[in-house]
Amino acid sequence: MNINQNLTQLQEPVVDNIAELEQKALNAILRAVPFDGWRDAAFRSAARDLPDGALLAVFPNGIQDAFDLWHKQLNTAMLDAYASQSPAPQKIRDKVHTLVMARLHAAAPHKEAVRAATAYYALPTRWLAAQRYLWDIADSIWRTAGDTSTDYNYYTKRGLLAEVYRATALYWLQDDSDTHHNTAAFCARRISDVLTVGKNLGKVRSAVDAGGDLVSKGLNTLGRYVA
Amino acid sequence: MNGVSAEARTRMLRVNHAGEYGAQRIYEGQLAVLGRHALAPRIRHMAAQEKKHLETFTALLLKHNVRPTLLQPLWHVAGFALGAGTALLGAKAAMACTAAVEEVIEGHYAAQAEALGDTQPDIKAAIDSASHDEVAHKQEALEYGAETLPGYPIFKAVITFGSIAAIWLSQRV
Repeated sequence: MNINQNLTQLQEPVVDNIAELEQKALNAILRAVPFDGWRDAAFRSAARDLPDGALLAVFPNGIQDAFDLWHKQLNTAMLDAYASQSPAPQKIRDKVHTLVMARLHAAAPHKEAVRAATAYYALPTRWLAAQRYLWDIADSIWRTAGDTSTDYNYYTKRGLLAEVYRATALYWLQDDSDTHHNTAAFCARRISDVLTVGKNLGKVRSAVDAGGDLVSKGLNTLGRYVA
Repeated sequence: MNGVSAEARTRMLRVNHAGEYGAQRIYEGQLAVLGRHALAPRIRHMAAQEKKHLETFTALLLKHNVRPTLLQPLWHVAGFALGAGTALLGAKAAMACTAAVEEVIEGHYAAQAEALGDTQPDIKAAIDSASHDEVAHKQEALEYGAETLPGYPIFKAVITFGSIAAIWLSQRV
């Protein structure tokens, strides 16, 4: 074989479509993860099902890139499923509930990969990365549910919902009920809890505002003496 | 050819939203003290304009999916305290505060407008419109005699430093 033939071979695309290869690679990893965990071992197992070098070409940072892509795909699937709801949920709590359940539903074919992810992210060194993913999920859900807060509520809402999602996902992993109706009920209860927290925060806020009003009245009195 | 990175745009929107929020709180603080002063109608007019800027930047923040600054509760208190605190020193001190703050904001918006150039017309329009009002506020404060406040250079230096620190923080946090 001369060098020209080699070059021709190199120039031939392995696959036509990079997205298609990415999907193939992700699927191979999702098949391996239940056995190997979200670790390099899964990466190596998946590599056996793919053309040489393909896995590193689409996931240059290894398994982390694969997880990242999966996370984004689940978010997209969640939003798509929500958009096709008819009738669309009206109350905030129903919107949030529908979105949380839609994301878990999208992950259902790979429940064991979710379980492996909870093990992977249980390590303290990965705590921050785990919070980022949860935050991103909560952010997607709130934006889709029409949240327009631009003050500290932006953070409290996302923080509380991230915790609801985390708790619900853990419950869902153990839930063998038909269509996960136990998880749906669990999720509804957690959302109710959070709304109660929100109401209590509202009370704190009213108290702070009342203090602010007092300050304003005092300032107003002082204002009489200002030149 | 001008333009900014997505990260720069994010910071721009976050700090402008925070700034207009803080500005609104400064004027609210001034009005808490000077609500019955002869200056009150003019301060109310300024406050109303700041409210409009804040609404514009709130809409842009949501449109561009930018998180608000985490320091919003701090600006809530600090802005009001600055407004009320200077107003307690007298109407002239309140105007000196306005002149000093608005001068920083004027420079801040001018730098942003230059960085944006012809890109991001929605953000550029909001900046130009707000900047126009801020310059008018500064002008009005100077005409009232802000600079004749005893110790104005020191007063101005302190407020300028505080404003620049607030901008720096709100871009990042």
